Amino acid sequence: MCLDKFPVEFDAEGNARLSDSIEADGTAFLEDVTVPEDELTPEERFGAIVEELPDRAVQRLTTSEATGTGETDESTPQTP
Amino acid sequence: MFENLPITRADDGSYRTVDGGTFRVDETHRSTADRVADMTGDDAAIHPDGTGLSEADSERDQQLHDIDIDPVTRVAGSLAFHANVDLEERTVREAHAQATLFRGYEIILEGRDPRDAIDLSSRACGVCGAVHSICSSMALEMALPVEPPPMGVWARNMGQAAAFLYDNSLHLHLLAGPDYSAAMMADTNPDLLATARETAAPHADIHGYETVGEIMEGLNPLEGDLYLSALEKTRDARQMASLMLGKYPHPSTIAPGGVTTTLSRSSFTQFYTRLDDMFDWAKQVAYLWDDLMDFMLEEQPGFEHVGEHPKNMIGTGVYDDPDVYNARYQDADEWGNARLATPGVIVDGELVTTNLTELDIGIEEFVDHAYYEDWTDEAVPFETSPAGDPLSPYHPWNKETRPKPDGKSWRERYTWGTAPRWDRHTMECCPHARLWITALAEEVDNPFIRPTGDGIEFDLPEAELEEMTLRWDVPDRLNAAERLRGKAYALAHHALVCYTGFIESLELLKQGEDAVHNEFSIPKSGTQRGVGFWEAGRGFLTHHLTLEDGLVDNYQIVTPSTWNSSPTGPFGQSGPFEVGAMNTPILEDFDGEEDFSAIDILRGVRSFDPCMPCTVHMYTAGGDDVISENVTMTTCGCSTGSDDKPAEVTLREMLADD
Repeated sequence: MCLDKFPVEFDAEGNARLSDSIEADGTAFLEDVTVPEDELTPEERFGAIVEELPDRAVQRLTTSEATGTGETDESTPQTP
Repeated sequence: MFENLPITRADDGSYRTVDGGTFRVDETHRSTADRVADMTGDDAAIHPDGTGLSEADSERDQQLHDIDIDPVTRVAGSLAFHANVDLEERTVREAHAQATLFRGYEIILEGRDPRDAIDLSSRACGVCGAVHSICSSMALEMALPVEPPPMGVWARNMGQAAAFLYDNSLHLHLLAGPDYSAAMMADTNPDLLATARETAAPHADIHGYETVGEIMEGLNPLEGDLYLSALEKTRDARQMASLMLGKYPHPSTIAPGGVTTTLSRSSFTQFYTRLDDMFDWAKQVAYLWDDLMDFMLEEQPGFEHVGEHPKNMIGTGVYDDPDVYNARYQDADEWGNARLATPGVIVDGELVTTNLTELDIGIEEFVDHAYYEDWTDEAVPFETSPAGDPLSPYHPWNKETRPKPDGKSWRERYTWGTAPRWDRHTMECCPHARLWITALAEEVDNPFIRPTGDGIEFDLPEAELEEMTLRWDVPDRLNAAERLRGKAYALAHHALVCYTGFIESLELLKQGEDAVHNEFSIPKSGTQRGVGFWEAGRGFLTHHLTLEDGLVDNYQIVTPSTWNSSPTGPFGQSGPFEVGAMNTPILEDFDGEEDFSAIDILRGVRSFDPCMPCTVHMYTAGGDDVISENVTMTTCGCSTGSDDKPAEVTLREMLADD
């Protein structure tokens, strides 16, 4: 069925059970939202996030600051 | 401001009770069996088991039919719907919304540690888990008091907006959408389906469906590509909510004073990756539902009356500005009006207030037709609000939950739902109400979300699709089509709140601010009050609480479905579901009683987003010919048919039959 990552199947009676065919502990599902902690200061975290954004997002963010969401700051990176 | 409550505004802006005025509802106002009989012009006793009508009106027996939709649940509880339909005249004579399950959260929370309220009230709904947690934590923030740091407010906003992206996508495509699917239309409106297949979709270049018929095919339950795409988007949106709130539903990171989530670099980058997709999803959904609803309104005369209700709406607003929000009741008007969705009340299409304190003091709950005893025989605890404004004995801070399940007929007590009223008006709520109030108020100051007084413009950034400005216009009427259209445009609003929050969060990080929570303590003595004003995916939500010596003394929740599924109250006003059904013409094609599906009534009721799995039972007045048809299912639970088959089995059998 449509629950392709959650390890549940429905039998002919409509009862849910853990699937034999896919990983039973749901790791594949949970991996999607696992967030490792970082050891960064807030400022370092800001830089690291911006580095990982696509170019168009960074351009938009700088444009947004110029239009009033967020305060313009000269330290805002113009490119990743 | 208030036309019906006995309160007036003094020169200094405060409210006071008018001289000689009283909030008491006397017998001339009460809604009784006789009063309902007067309203409907029928003095027969119609019982919840379906008996009574045929004996009372035998000459019309062949054309009158009782229709019961059960369950149509209120948040995570059960909600049933009863209507009496004249098939010959194609009209609905009588309609009743029935909450069939006593929830009892108010009683469960009595005497508990107030911190329990966040996690326990969260369980009121599996779809809206974070909604209740946040609302509860805000009520506690006011009572304790404690104020969250800016990043905590944005985490809450972003997590909630992401949850709404999930919630509204779910309702549009998995719960209401199947009512417009090709599979459904083939049975109920085959000529309309044929026309749809020949009608080009005006915005095919954006959403990819060449004809309206293709959109309907896409909405086929379990197999349509739109249905399945929406399912995938609900998963992505829940992951976004999880990134901000730790998990979903029922996040454990929400507390008075902010959130306790660890927000690392990865939290934000993963959030943004999914948000980029949501920009395009919001564009596609808005135009897709424009095409579908415009087709229905144009090609099916009478569809504009399906689910129609007077333009009375209420919303608490949502998405706080951390520079303004301080959790104080006395400042609620200021921080409420700073929200990215404005609180307010609309009566007969006119915006009458955007102030949370005025919204609050106008609320009353009545139980004339509900399985509760009136509590106003005793002195109420609070005659005024924390701001000093007069409070009705029927206000949630004065309400006492007294269950009394002795319902006997549709004319008397028939529901566990109460009848909330604002200034004694019936109100409805949903995302369209949120947009409507925000549009008229013009309070939101945001570069991407621009209310114009007669609509809202949303600037959605480029993703795979180019950047574009969507415009939602305030509709001329309030009906099923505009509820669904409003919900579709609400996705743009939610996505842009996420975007704003993302930008503001980066700014906070750049300034070295990453605190998400401030500490709080529970006072061990005295009386404290608080109220959470927040919104669920389908609108209005309040949690009113009173603490006494460190424990919960009273806790009252008013959900959007409490308003929408309200029974008849004093002063003779039926609830929005009921009025919407009674205004609905029967438009479907059917040859005889055995072919009648009640799809028009269902489209009307479901447009309010009852949110839950619906098994539809239809039976003739005698109750012998029972048809059970499973229409939708949701992540909230599984419904059962009359023979107790699980929802999925029933649905598979339906598909096999097709």
